[in-house]
Amino acid sequence: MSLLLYGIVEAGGASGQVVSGVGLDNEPLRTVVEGSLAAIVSEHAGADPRPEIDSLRNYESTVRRLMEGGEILPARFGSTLADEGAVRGLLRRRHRDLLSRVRRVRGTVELALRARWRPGTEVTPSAPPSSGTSYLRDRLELRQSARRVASELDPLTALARSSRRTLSPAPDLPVLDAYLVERDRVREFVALVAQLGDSLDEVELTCTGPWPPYSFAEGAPV
Amino acid sequence: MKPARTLYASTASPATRSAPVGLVDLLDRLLAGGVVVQAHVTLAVADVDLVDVDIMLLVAATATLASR
Repeated sequence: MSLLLYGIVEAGGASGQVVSGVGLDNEPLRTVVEGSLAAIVSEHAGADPRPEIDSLRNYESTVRRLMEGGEILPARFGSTLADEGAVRGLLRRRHRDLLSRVRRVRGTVELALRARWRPGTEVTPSAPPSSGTSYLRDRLELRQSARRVASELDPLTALARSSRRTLSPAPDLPVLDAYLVERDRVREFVALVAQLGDSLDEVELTCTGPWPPYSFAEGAPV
Repeated sequence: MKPARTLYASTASPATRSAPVGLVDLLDRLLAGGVVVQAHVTLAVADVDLVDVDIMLLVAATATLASR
């Protein structure tokens, strides 16, 4: 029996996180407290959970429900720890970093934004490159086009507490962004996305969310 | 605290506003985001049938959000 981790919250935090209900496999949720942090876990038997659709959906709805009760730094799907001792070890080892991240996401949600080339405006070459030089030239052009689109989206960062950007993750996708947005600015943010979308001829914008702050749990400090 | 509401904003035409975008964003977050506690977590998504997901559970029209 191991413990499946859903996320990390501030113990006795300002939001007064109430943990109840069940998670995967209908196992009851509970907290493991260490210092100023609490991990939300449930018992888990057997191998690490596989990313099957029912499990993913169940996990997502559990974390989402927890987010509605207060700030949570979500864990990656399938994160298991051997026992309470291992959970406490994690919270001790990364106490400062995790606490500062939990506090930085307070009152926010994550919004995902993808810019996709509109049909007919793809800069992707339709034919395979005829030489190494043309391959590199195509790559450069793709990168420059992505940068141009990204710069058009810059006004969005003014409405966000933090953001993460991936340029050209796929040929049809020049920009993939994640924004950490205060809850009471979400409508303003979405309205600006719509406005920018109307003004951009080359790309269509798709914004999804609000998500728990998955993209701000690791990597550069928020 | 106000419960989080799901929203979906897109400038794509309805025909191209394919539901799987929400699913891709979901998979991106659950499988590649979040606090990492182990060296590696199963990343295989072969078992996920992208077409089979009722992503409408996750996404709602912007109009719904605007009418709040």
